[in-house]
Amino acid sequence: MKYFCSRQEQVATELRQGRLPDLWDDALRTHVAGCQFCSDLVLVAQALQQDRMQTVQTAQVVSAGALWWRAQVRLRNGAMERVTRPIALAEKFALIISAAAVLAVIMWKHSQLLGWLLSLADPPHPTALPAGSSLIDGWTTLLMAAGLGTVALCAALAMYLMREEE
Amino acid sequence: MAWDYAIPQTGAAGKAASAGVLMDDEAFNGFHQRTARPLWSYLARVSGSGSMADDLLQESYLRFLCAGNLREDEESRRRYLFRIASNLLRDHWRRPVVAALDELPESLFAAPEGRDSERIDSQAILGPALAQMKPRERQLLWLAYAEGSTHREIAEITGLGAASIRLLLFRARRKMARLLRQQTLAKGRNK
Repeated sequence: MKYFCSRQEQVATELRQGRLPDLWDDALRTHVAGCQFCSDLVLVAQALQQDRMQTVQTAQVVSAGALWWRAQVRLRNGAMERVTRPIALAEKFALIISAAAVLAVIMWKHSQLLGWLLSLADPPHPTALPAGSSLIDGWTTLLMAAGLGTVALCAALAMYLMREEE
Repeated sequence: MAWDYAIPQTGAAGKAASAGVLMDDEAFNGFHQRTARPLWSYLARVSGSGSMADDLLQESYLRFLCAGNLREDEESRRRYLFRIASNLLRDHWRRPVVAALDELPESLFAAPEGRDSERIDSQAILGPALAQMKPRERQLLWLAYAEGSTHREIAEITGLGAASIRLLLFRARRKMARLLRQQTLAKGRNK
């Protein structure tokens, strides 16, 4: 299907330059009167151009200063987020590692922990415990110390950061 | 916490650089003056909502300013701004209903009467005609005939293939012309 007239570009150029059809040469006006493509083009373009002119005159837009200021704030917030992102990532990483460590310890020492929990409910007489079944052996002590140390370190760091922020 | 030392070019001193940016606030002021009203008109006519046009206009400028790769010349910047606005329009339409722009029902995008349409004959005819057009058609027609953009520029702004613009524009123009003639006839009969 044909959807282009050979003189359409000429008509479009005249319209783009804002020249009214009354000012066009006779040949072009005669052509437009008889050409469906070009008459559609003139009708639509003129309606839209007129509408644009009126809309542009009545438009109420936010000031450039306000937009500039908001852009500065957004940029600043973006930069802050970029800077703090590694810290947030490190926090998440630490949380995951801690959870994994706790799980590993539970799985590794589950029988002893279970016994310990049971003993809490029903504490045996101290003399009933065999000498080699010390609940808190060397490894457990080490892990607990490391865990407590980590918690203390994190707490100190958090307090330091909070004080800095204030 | 004072992070300023770690945030380059965001202080008052780095104003121009912080905006992305090859543009200082004075240059932006001029650019805004030349583009804000035409952009608002585009958004209002294509979206069919003045309030949405207000929102999208602000967001378009913010994204424009925050983008780091602003073009050198005014025309490119203008096209870039219109492209951002067009993308925002598309995103807005896609948000409530997951569908392509062309598949969405036209009733969602019914263009309201222009602010002064009751007062102005041409708008009284144009408003209802625009309301019956698809958003994509309104977008193409507005860019081509109200903004005077070339096919290549329209393709850049809308993200459509440059080769398809001519045909899409032809169909939209034919439909719009038919609607305008119908509106004119109906208006003549009502008088």
